[in-house]
Amino acid sequence: MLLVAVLSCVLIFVDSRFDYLDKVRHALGSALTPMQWLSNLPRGVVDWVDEVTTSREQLQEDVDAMKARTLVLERKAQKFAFIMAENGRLRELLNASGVVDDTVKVAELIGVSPDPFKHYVMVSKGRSDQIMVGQAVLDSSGLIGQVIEVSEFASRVLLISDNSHAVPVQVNRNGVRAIALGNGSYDFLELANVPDTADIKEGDLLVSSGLGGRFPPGYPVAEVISVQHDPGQPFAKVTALPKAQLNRSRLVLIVAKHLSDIDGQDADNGEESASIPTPGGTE
Amino acid sequence: MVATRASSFFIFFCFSASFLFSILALPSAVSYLRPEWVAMVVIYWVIKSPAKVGVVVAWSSGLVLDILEGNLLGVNALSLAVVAYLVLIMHQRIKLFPLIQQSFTVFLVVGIHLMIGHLIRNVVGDSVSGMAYLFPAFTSAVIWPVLYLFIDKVTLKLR
Repeated sequence: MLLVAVLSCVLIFVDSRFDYLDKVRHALGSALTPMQWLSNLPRGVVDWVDEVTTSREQLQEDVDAMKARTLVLERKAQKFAFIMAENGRLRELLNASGVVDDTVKVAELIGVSPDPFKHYVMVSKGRSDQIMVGQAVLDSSGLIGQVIEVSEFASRVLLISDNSHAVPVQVNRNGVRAIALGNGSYDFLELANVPDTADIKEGDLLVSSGLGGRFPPGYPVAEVISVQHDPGQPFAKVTALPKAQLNRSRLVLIVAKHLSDIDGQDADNGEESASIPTPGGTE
Repeated sequence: MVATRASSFFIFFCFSASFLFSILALPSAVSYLRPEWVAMVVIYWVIKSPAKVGVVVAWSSGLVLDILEGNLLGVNALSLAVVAYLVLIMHQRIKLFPLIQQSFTVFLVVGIHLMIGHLIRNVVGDSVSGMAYLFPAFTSAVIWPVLYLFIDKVTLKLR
């Protein structure tokens, strides 16, 4: 008993301070992936029954709706190509580094955190799909979180709503920067240390600012739902509703990091931020 | 109750099932009440066959649970080892308890298991406020008689 207790304490200590155990974790985690798949089976069955029992008319309706939506999105994309090109030219004029479009991998949700105090999900892509720790994860409407652990065929994604998570954001309207903290609830994030005078209003869209170097800039994170000024408090209390459907998405997008870009970025980050202080101007 | 000689395979199966149940997706309203399946299976088998399932088995199963849940390695391992140790000390008495009294013991032991996990998480700075983390102790105690009779029955059938 004593031996076992000492061993576990050593394990806990080593695991919390160093990353020697990542290999062990990776190996065991990969071996246990079938367990994760199995745990998702009931949900899979429900989905399957749902799919099988959908009527033809319903499916036809869905397809029609999707076609209409594709059209709308394609129209936007046409403009987008033009705007991207224009943006590129303007950046060249400013001597800023070009913007590289991110490539994404689609992954399926295979499990959610069993512990209500921890917000993470398991997704179906792992090291075999070149997923790495630190990649940002999105759904169709916004940022979900980041990859924190990778095994061979699955990886663990920490949600932006987890207690221990924070995203550097900026207000889309005017570029005011802030940090959005998760607080263990799917329904809102809090902005940390916002001065009372900061220009943040209800309804403002918060997008990732890319300042931490972890998240790519420009993805929607949350929408401000309330701003409270309390004269007794040093900071305003700002809460925001996450744009992504944190507890609903079935398919997620994992943003691939451009390795060469990151290397280059680290090198010229210093000079660039000195000359052009545009937020989100890196990458 | 019945003195059964359960096969190692069945014990292994019980543990696998408990892992599965402890990571099964639940609606978020209910997930606060998820019973501690692995802890209960450890308690059951330590009572039933202390020669086979002891501190080391409990420790290894805790390690597996840590990896499945993405905890720090060793948190559940330590607390489940403590659970096994406590139950091992008094397994001969617990065996003779009526089910209600057993439930109460399970409540205490699972509570200790949860508190150890909570303590460690607080020490490494990943803290959760409030007492909600103790709810599984209640549900585990409520489920215990059902689980106990169920595994008893299956073991009898398998013999």
